[in-house]
Amino acid sequence: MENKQTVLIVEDETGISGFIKAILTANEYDVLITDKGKTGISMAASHCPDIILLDMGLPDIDGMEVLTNIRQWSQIPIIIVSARGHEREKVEALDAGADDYLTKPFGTAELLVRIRTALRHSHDALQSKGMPDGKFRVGTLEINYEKRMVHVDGIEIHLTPIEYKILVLLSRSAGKVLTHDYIMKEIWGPFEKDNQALRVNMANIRRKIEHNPAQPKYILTEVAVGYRMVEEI
Amino acid sequence: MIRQAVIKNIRNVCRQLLIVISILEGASLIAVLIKSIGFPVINAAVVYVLSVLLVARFTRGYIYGILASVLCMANYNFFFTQPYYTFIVYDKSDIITISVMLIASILTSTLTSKLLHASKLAEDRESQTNMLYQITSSLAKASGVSDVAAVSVQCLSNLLDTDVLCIMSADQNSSRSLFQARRGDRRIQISEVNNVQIEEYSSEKKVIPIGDASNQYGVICIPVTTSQESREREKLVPAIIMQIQSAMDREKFSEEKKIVKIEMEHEKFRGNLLRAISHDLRTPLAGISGTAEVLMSNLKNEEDRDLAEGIFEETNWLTQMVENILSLTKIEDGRLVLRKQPEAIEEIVGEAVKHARKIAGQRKIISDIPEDVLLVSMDGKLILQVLINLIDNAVKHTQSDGIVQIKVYTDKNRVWFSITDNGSGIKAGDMPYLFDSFFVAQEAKGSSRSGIGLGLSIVRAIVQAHGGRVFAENDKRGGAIFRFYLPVKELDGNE
Repeated sequence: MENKQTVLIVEDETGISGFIKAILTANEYDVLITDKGKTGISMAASHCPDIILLDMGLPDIDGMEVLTNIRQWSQIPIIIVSARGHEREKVEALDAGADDYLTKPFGTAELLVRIRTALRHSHDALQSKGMPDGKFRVGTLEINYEKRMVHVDGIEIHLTPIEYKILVLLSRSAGKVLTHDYIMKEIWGPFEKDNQALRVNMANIRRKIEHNPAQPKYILTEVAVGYRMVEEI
Repeated sequence: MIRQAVIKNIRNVCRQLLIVISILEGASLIAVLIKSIGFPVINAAVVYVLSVLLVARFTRGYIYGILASVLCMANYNFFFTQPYYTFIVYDKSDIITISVMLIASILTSTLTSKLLHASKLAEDRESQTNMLYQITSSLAKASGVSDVAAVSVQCLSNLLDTDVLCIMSADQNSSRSLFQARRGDRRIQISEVNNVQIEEYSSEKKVIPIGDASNQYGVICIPVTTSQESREREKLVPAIIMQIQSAMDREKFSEEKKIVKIEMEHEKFRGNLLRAISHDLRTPLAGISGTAEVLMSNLKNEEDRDLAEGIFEETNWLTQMVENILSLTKIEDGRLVLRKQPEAIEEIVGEAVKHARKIAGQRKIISDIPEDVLLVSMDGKLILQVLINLIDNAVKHTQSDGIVQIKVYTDKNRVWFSITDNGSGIKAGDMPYLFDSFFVAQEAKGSSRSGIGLGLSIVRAIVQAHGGRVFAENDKRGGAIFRFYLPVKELDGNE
């Protein structure tokens, strides 16, 4: 039997941690549960799980504190669980080092996809550093990093340098959500406050690569949070 | 009546004349005394002047002083100047004495009369002011419009020394209240009267209204008077009526304020309750929905899976409702914080359409947005909520093969969003209440999925918070059109 990956769930509501455990166990993960933030930190240190699901509404300490604490000494993937309407909280957590987020109530499929994506990225990060090589493919979209070319349905797409950079950034983290601020910082540097340029560029990218820019298939909008490129269609 | 007045007058005049005569007699006696002692006669003149002063002091009106002056001069001339016992004067210096005496005494008498008069006026004014002050303080202590009326009749009755009536305007009932204060009686009668009785009571009386054009509190009825004193007192009445009106205004506003305060507290309590309940419902619902989903995939039996699916769908609907309640309580509390950012219209509408396609079933969803990139400053999540609520509404009111269209267009400095459907439209009776909280359309009541009527009120609150407005109307071809706009400073296109 191969080694199962371990998920640490830090969640105070047993109703929720219960069904998450059921889903994960059924999908061949080992599950650890705690209902307190402080215990979560110590369990992360002692058990070294492969991924952490962190609820932001914990009773003893703020979820952000748990996040920032763990991030001080580990790059272990963390997915935060937050309620609807708390977009500010999600963006802050993502900018503070969380890998992705889930909004209560979430479904089985969403949960599993996010966990898989986060695990894959952390695995890839350990493996390779530096410039991405090779190709990226999803659906009929193909990015050739070496030749710096983009094709959709076999037709070459002409992107401006900035548009290409954005596309590459998203594809490197395919499946993961990237906040507006993160993208701005990576592409335009830390001093650009206004993310209008990003919106306009994104709109242009969509017009070039999507069949229906109003219903994008490749780059999804996470309203008030950021953008996410899909991993598979 | 007039005979009495005349007799009174004559008696007054006689009294005054008596005073004049007695003072003059006194003066003359003293003058004679002086002469007999052997003092210079001029002293007698001075005594006479003094007597004129006294006359002026003790009589009312200028006439007596002047009369006394003339009589004194005559007396002095007759008795104290040579030749004695005649009105002829030998000595030239005596003429000067007499003339000066006359002038002096007239002047002093007029001055004194004037002083007396002014002093009396001041006293009168003071007493009036005192009376007004008494009345105002009594009115200030009154609480409630009825109490003011009671106090008013009492004060007026005391002031005017007569029976006073106050008839209040009808409020809720058709009968009116009557307050009556009798002269000399401390008690006040309060009774209910109808129009006929009012006629009786107010006949042959002076009727003064309390209030102005917009606000009629009632009327005061006083008997018609003729005496001078009462007429003097009556001059105060308009000022007093103004005070009464102010007092009634004050009490009325105070009562209204109390009612508003109670209502506000009820609202607040209800809001708090709703919020506490919603919050406590949210999390268990998330648990139930997640667990139901797990069961949906785990259960072997298809019937069992369908049951689990039923639980799952119902929980989702409940969750949506709870979220709506929470949003609304936040909005009503004023705690809704707008986080505006320039958002691309196509992104927001895209998400809304995605949601629409999920719930639309067989219905067609059409979106029509401008080609250019439109960036509008807005709180993306909230406007998305607005679109979702409007789409949900449209879907609910169209047949399973209906069409829902989402359109965005610009007009000067506004961005318009319109959601149209070809469903049953809006009933005329529902129109005015469409956006009210908890309003549910008539025909939807009773069905299990009618919702609690918060969707549209949330729409309105969010749109208004952005500085826009929302409109609803029926399409001529059938179905409904819901439109709202967001104001923009300037529209950004491609950079």
